[in-house]
Amino acid sequence: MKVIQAYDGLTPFSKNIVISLGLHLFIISIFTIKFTLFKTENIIFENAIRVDMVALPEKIKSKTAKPSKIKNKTVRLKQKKKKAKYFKKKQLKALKELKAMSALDQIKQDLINDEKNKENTNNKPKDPVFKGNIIASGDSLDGLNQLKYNKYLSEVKRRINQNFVLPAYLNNQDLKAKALIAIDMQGYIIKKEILETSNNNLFDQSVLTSIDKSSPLPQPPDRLKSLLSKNSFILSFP
Amino acid sequence: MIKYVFLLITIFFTSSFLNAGQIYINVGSAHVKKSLLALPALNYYGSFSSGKRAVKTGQEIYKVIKNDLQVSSYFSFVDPAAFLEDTKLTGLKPKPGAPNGFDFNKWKVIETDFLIRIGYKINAGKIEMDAYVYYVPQAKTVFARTYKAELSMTRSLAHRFSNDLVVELTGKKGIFNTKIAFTANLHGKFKEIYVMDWDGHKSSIKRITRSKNLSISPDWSPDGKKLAFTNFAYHPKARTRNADLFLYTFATGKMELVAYKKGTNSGATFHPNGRYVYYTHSRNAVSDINRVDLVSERISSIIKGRKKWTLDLEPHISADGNQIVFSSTRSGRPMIYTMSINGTSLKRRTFAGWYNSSPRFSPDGKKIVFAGQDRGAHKGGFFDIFIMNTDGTNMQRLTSAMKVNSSKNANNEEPSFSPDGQKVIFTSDRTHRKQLYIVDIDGSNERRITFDRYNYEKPRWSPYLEQ
Repeated sequence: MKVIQAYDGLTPFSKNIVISLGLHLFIISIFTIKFTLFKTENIIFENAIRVDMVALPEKIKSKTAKPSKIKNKTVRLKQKKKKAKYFKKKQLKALKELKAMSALDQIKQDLINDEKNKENTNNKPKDPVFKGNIIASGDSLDGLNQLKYNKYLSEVKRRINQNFVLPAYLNNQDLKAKALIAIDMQGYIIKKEILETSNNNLFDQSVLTSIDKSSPLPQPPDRLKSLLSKNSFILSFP
Repeated sequence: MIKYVFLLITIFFTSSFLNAGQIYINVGSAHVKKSLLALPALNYYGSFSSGKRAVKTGQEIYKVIKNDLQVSSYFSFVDPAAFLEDTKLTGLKPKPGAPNGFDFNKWKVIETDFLIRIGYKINAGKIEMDAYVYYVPQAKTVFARTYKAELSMTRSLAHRFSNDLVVELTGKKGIFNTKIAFTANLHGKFKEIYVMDWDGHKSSIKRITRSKNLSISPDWSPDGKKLAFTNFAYHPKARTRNADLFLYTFATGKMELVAYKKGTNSGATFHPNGRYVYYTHSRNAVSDINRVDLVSERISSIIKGRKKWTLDLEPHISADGNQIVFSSTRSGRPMIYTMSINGTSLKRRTFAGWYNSSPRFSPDGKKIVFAGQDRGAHKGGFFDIFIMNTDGTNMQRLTSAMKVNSSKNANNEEPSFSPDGQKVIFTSDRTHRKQLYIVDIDGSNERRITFDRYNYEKPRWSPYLEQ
C-alpha cells in the first residue's frame, strides 16, 4: 500500500522510469530462472562446411648470415719472463681452440656446399610442394601423359575389337583365348602369339586374323613411345 | 578435389595394368557373321533306270538341307550362279588326291567358308548318300559320312545330315529331327491331335486321334515316346461327355485314360521325371492345378483356387523339376506366377498388361515365354508373345504383326520353346486363320511353317528325339 502511495506520488516521468525498470527486471529474472533451472542448449561452433587448406603459401625465409671468418691475430704481450711463459702458454691454448672452432665451421660449410652440388648433379625431382592453387605432379606418369596413355589403350582396344569377327556357329560357346603382341615405335605389330588357346582351332584363327588386320596400330604418342614399345600387350578375347 | 580423385584412380589402374612390363587389354565381344556356305545340287551316282524319281529325291534332300541350315541362322548361301566350276563334272573329293577332284582355289576365290558335296544312289527302294563337308580357307575336311535309309525316310536322312553338321560345328544337338504336336481340324470339323516334322512339311503329318469330337492340348513326355492330351470322352454310366486326360504311346499306339474327374481335365504337362502329369481341373467357375501319378494313378491337388472365380491354370514344370509356372487370376486379372514344386515361394512375376497366359519355361530354366494382352479385346487389345527372365525382369516382345488386309493387329499366342531353347513356335491369326510360325528368342528370323486355311492350336515342340 505504501509502495502504491509512493508510486502515485511520483511524477509521470518518474512513473515511466519505474515501469521501465520493472519490465527490465522482469525480463532479466526470466532469463536468470531459465539459465539456472533449465539446461541450456550447447551452441555448436563447428563449421558446416570444412575446408582443409591443401597448402599454405611458402614462408618467406630470411637469409641466414654466413659464419664470419675468424682472423688469426697473434697478440703480443710484454710481460716478465716467468709470467710471460705462463701467459704465452695460455695464449697458445686459446689460439688452438679458436683455430679448431673455425675449422669445424669450415667443414660444416663445405658439407653444405657438397650437398648442394650433389643435388644439382643428380637432378632429383623435388618433393611435390603443394602451393595454393598449383597441382602437384603424380607418382609415375604425370597427369597429361596418363590421359594420353589411357586414350591410346582404348584406341588399341577399339581397333582390334573392330576386326574381331567370329562365325555365328562359334558364338555362344564360351570360348576364350589370350594372345600376346608387341609393337614397334611406329605401331606395327612385330610379334604375335597365342598365350592361352581356346582349344578350338577356328576360334584361335579368328583371334590371329583380328590381330593381323589391326596392324599397323595407331602410332604411340611421342612421350610414351619407348614405354609402349618396351612392354608387350596381353589381349583377352572376348 | 575431383582432380585428385581422378588422379588416384588412374594411378591405381596404371599400376594394376603395368605389371612386370605387360599391358592388359580386354578386347570385348566379337562381331558375329554368318558363314558363307556353298551347297551345290546333289550328284547322282546310281543307275539311270531310277530316272525321274532319283532326280526328285535329290531335289527333295537339297531343299530339306538348305531349309534346315537357313533356319539354323549360322549360314548364308553362295548363289549357284557364282560357282566357278561345274559341280556335275567334278567329284566329291578335292584334287590332287582324287581323280576328277574339285579345286579348292576356285571356292576360295569366291570367299566360300564351307563347301558341301553330296552324292547319292538309289537301289531297290533304298537310298545311300555320301556327304562331305569342307572348310575351304584351310582346305580341311570337317566330316565325311555315308547315310543309308529306306527311300520313304529320305527327309529324315536329310534332317539327320543337318543335325550332324550342327553338332560338328557347335558341339550342340541340332533340332532338325524334332517334331511338333498340335490340335487342328485337318479332317473335317472336329479337332484332332496331330504330329509333324518341325518344318511343317505336309508329308510328315501323322494323325494321332480319330475321336471325331474334341481332342485338344497335347504335350510331350520328356523322352518323346508319349503324348498326354484331353479328349471329350463319352461316359456311358453318366450318359454324358467329360473332358478327360489321356496318354498315347507312339510305339504301341495305345490310349490310356489317366484322369476323368467331373469337369474339364486339360492343359497337361509332364514333370521331367516322366512319372507325374500336371494339369488343370476346372468345374463350377473354379480352376485348380492337379497332379496325377502315372504309376499309382493317385491324384493330388497342387494349387487350389481359394474362392469362386479364381482360376489357376496352364501349369508348366521347369527342366530341373523344381519350379512350376502357371497363370492365375488370384490378383484380379490373369497374371504369371511361379512357385517351388513343394508349394512354397509363390511369387507373382508379371504386373503389366491386361491378360497374361500360356507360360512355358525355357529348357535351361532361365526364361519364361508367354502370351500377353495389354488391354481388353473390347478395347482393341491383341495378344503378342513375350519373353522374360524367370524373375520377371528383362521382358521383351517377340512378335508384332498386322492382319492381312486389315488395320487390326494379329493375335500371336500359345508359345512353346524348341529343345535347344533358341526358337519359339506359336500360333498367329494374321492370315485370318490360326497358322504356325517360329521365331528366334531375340525376335528375329520369324518364318511361317504352315501354309493352308486350317486352324492350328496349342503347338508343342518335342524334346530331342532318338535318331
